[in-house]
Amino acid sequence: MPKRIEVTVDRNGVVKADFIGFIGDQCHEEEARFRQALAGFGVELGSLEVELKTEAQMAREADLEEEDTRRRVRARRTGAGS
Amino acid sequence: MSVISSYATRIRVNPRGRHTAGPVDPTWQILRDAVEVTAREFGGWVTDEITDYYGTRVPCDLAVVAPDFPRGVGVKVSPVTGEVKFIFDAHGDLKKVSQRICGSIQQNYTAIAVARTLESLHYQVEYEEEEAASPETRRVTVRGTL
Repeated sequence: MPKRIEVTVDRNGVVKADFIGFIGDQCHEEEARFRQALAGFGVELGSLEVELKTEAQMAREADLEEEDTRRRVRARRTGAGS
Repeated sequence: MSVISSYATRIRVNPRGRHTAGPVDPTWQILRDAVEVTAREFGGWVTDEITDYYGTRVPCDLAVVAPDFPRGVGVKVSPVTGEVKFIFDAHGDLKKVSQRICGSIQQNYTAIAVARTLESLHYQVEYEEEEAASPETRRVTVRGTL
């Protein structure tokens, strides 16, 4: 499952970051790495809220990823056949 | 455990970055890019001074002057801490437009910095701007895939 970070920035300077596909502690490790690298580019983050994802949310992400992979494999096969 | 985190942001550029010889400091480059994007968004231009209600010129590091706000919004960087502050004279019912310009600069800076950060961590980066009912609710999404 590919790993993704999705960051939404609003007009009030609030940043929402979603770490997708990271398992266990990987998520917190990547969050720390991201935060440190971002500070190097001049943005300091102050934590407002951390929302743990529900199992349903994680299952939905896994389903979407699976579907995406299937679609890519189909596209590759179609491309190879033409 | 997977998480979604929300953060408040503070912009702090390299205080000595403006005057270093050689390549432009990345934080100053992002600041200039963010100010230029905002100037385009408001149909204005980038300069290095604003004026107050009485027409007095006030120098700053960078500034956006736009038809809706000809006095301009200035960006001042603390030479000690690198903290970025906005200066403007909104006297006469111009508070809303000046705040929109400040919000835009902050949003653009953060979005560009997030994109550069993800690239530096070897993510493939996509950038998406959400259609919004008003400029105040405009949101930008930066996606990084490994």
